[in-house]
Amino acid sequence: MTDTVPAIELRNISKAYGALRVIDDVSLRVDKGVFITLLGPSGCGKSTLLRTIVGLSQPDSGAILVDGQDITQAAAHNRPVKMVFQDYALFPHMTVAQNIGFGCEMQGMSRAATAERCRELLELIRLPDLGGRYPDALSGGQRQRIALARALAPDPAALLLDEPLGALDLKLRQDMQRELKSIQRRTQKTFVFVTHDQEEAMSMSDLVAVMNKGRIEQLDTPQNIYANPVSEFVASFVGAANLFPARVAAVEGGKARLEVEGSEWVVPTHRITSGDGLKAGDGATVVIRPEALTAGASRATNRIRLTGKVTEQTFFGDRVHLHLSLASGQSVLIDARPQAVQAGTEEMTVECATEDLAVIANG
Amino acid sequence: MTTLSHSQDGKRPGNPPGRLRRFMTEGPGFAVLMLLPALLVLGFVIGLPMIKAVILSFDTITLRRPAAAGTIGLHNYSRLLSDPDAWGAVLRSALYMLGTVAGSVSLALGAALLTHRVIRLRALARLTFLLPWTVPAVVTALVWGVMYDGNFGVINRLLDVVPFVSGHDWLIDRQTALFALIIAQVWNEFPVAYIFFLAGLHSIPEELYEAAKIDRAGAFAQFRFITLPQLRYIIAVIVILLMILGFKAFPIIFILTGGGPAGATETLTVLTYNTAFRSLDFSYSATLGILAVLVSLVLVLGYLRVMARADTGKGGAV
Repeated sequence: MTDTVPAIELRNISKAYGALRVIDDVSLRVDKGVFITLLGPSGCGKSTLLRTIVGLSQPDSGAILVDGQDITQAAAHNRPVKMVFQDYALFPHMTVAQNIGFGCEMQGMSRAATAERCRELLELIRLPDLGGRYPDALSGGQRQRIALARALAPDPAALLLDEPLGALDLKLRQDMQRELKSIQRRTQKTFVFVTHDQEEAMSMSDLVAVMNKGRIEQLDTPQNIYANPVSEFVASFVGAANLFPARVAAVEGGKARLEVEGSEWVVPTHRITSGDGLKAGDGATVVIRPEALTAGASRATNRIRLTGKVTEQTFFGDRVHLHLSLASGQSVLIDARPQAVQAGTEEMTVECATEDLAVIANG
Repeated sequence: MTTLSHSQDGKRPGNPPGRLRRFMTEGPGFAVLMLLPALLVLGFVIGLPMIKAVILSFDTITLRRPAAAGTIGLHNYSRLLSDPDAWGAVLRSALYMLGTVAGSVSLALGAALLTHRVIRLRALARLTFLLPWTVPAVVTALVWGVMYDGNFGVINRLLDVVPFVSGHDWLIDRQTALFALIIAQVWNEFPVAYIFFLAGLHSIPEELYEAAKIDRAGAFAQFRFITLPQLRYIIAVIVILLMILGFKAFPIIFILTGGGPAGATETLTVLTYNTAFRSLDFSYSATLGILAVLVSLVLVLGYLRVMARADTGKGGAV
C-alpha cells in the first residue's frame, strides 16, 4: 500500500515582518523520500519558509504538519526535522565526532550508541578517518559533509538545507551536488533544499518550487518548470527566455491565433501553460527558449519565423549566443551551435516549432 | 642607450651603507626607532622610580632614625622572608584578588548574558551596568562606607526586614571587613569584564545557538556547550586582568579601612603604603614594593601567554 501521509505539509502559511509579507499564503505537500528545492531570488521568502518549518521562526497563520502531526506550535527542539545551515554552524571547539554526536547526546542516546551512529555517518559521507579532527582543519567540502552528517545523526523525518553549497567554489559545488543527491538516495530521506541557483535546483531535485515575493509561483518537476513555465517570472528566472507580448485574435479547433510582432502566430492550445485558457482579446506572453530557435527558414509548417539584424555574438566554445534585433526593436537571444552560424552574418532568420514555445496568459 | 650609473659596490653615493640601511628600514632597528619615544617616556616615569626603589631596598632609610641611614645589603630581603606581617599581607592580597575575580567574572557574565539580547532600552540596560565604572574608586569607597555604616547604613536598614538577621558593623568586624571590601571592589570593577563579555557574546554566531536548539539543547546546555567554550579565551584574559587589578587594589581598601581592623584588611599594597608613610620606613617599604612588582610580573607574564596563544590561533574563538 502506498504511504499517502506526506513527509511535510504546509497549509496556508503566512509570515510578515511589520508591513513586509515575506511568506504569503504558502501551501505545499512534500511526499516522503522526495528531494524538493525551494528556488527563488534573494528575499523571496525561501529561507524564512525553511526556518518556519524547522521552528526557528513562527508563522503568523497556517499549519505545519510533519508525518501527519501538527507541529506548528512545537518548539524547534521538539520537531522531527533537522537543518543544515548555509555556513554549516559546526561547533568550532568540538571534534568532528563530537559535532556529529551532539544531537544524539542531547536526545539522551548512550555514549556507545552515539559513537556507533557517528561511525555509520562518517562512513556514509565517506570521511571515516576524520572523527578526531576539528572543523578548522577541514576543507569547505568536508565541513559541508560533516554538517550534513550532524543533521542526519538523530534520524530526522526530513532534512532542511539552507543554501548549503553557497560558500563552495564551482568545481566543489558540482561535486557536492552529486554527493548530496547520492546521500539522499541512499538514506531515502526527504530533503528540502533552498537555493537561488537554478542550475543547482534543476540538476538535483525531484521537484522544484519556484518562489517569488513570498509565494510559490510554480511547483513541478524541473523538466516541466523549464518547458512549461506558468508565469513570466518563472520563465525568465529559470533559464534564459525570450518573452514576446501577444494578443489573442481567436481560439478555435485546438489552435490559438496570436498577434505577435505584427504577424499572426498559430499555436496549439495545449501550449498555453497557465490560466483557464485564453479567449479572443486576451493579452498573453509567448515564451521561446534561446535553444528552441534555429537558424534558417525551413518549409515545415507549425513554425514561427523571426528576421532581424545580428547585434552581438558571444562565443562559448561549444555554443554561441547571438543577439538579434527585430524590426520592432525587441532583442532576441539565440543559443546555437557555432557551425550553424556563418561568419560575418548581419541579418538572419530564425524559426521555432510551435510545440517548443509556451504561452502564458497575462494577469 | 641610457644607462643607470651605480658605484661598483652597488651602493648609491651619499646613502648609508646597505647593511645599516636594511637594519634601520627592514630589520629590528626600525622597530626600535618607532618604539623609542614610548620607551623614553616609560623609562622616565616607570624605569627610573623602579631603579630608585631597588636601590632604596638595599639601604636603611627610616625617618624615625635618620642617623642610621646607610647601605645594608640584603638585610631588608632577609627581614621580608621572616616577616609574618608581610606574608599575612600577601595572603590577604591573594584572597582579595581571588574574591574580586570570582565576584566580578560571575556578575559581569551574568549581566552580559542578561543584556546582550535586549533590544528595547538596550542603551539604558548597558549604561546601568557600566555606570559603576565611571565612578572614581575614591567616590565608590565613600559611598560604600556610608552604606556599610553600622548605625545608619542602608545595608543594615535592608537587613532589618529579614527575620533572624541583625545589623552588623561590616567594616569593623575582622570576620567581615575583607569580604565587605571585596564587594565594593567588585561593584567598581566588574564593568570592565562586562564590556569584554558583551563583545565576546556578540561575536558568537547565532547559527551555533540555532543548531544547538534544533539538536534539543536547552538554555543550560547551550551555555555549557557553546557560550562557555566560545568565551574561554576572553574569560582567560579577563581573569588575568582582574587578578592584576585585584592584586594592586589600593584606594577602596585604604579609604574604607586603612588596612584595619587590626590588620585584617592589610593587603600588600596597603602594608607597603603604611610602612612608608605611617612607620616612615622607606627602605623596607621599597622591599615590599619590589615583592608586589614581582608578583604582578608573574601575572603579566600569564596575560602575555594567553594573548600569544590567541594570536597563534590556539586560544579559541574570540
